[in-house]
Amino acid sequence: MNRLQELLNPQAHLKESTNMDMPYIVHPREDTGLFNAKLGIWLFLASEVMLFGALFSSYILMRIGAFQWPQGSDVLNVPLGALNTVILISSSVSMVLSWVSLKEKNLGKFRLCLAVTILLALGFMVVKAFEYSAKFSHHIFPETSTYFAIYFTLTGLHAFHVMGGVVVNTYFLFPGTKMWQTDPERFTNRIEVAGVYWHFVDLVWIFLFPILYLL
Amino acid sequence: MSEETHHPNVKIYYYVFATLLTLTVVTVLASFINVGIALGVAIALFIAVIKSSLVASFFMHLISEKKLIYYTLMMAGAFLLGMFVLFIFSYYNLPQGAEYIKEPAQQTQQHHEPAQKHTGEPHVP
Repeated sequence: MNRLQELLNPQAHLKESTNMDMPYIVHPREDTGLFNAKLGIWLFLASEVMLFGALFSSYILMRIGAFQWPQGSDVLNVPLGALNTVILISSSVSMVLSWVSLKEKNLGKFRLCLAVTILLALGFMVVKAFEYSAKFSHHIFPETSTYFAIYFTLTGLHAFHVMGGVVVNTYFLFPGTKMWQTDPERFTNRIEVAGVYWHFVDLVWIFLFPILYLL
Repeated sequence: MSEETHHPNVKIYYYVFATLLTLTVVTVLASFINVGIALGVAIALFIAVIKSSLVASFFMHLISEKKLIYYTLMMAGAFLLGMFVLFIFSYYNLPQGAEYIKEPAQQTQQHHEPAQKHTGEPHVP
């Protein structure tokens, strides 16, 4: 019978598919147990692992090939680096708490936690700006040495990721919150996914701090 | 979504937070102990691996994630390992007759450039 209908109206299935919503944007797919954005962010992070991995590999290669390599604590400000580590870890906690707040259907607490996350991220950037300007004022640039070349590349790329997180989170704090009224579950998923990205940025810094500042 | 994401346990996040702060202090303090470069790097990376595992497991919910995510990350991990191995092999891939500058004394042969410019570059005699 279906076959007969298909023969009589071959365009029918096309019309049906264009009227359908995109599947698995809120509820997980049965076989994978994942909604689209969750799989998407992890695929993106897998590519990020390769991006930072290439630079970490370069760091190792240049370091073992160098006859002279400065002690990180001699050329960088360890207390400022440690402060930035604490700032990023705290922002990770406030990020995860913003998602928990949505799970508890508490929009006010969500706004507070996400605002704290953004402010901490901006605080990280301010500290980084102080560090960079101190280096530039001492005429230290990426060309100064192999160490500073990899230092500016890794921390610069990481800072771009922090700024990316700030932009996304600011969107969710202001215009993006509208979705909470229309589709709260999807909005909660969005915050979870934004959080997974943010924790990755924190995770990269956890490695950057010891290898650049301490070793 | 996993069960864990339906009933988030807030307490665990505070425990992880406290542990991460403690380990940050331990990392900084350990760097002041003079144990030699090899052991120093090993200790710092060991602590960094513990900290990143805590972030990935609890904040990123990897401890209760679906298999497809694990497979994706395993694939990324395998490529990452391959890339590390290739990079480190390239350390030995120098033009014939070239060698890495090992002793700062050799640097005196080339007065025209500052010392830091030579770090990490192979020297062809």
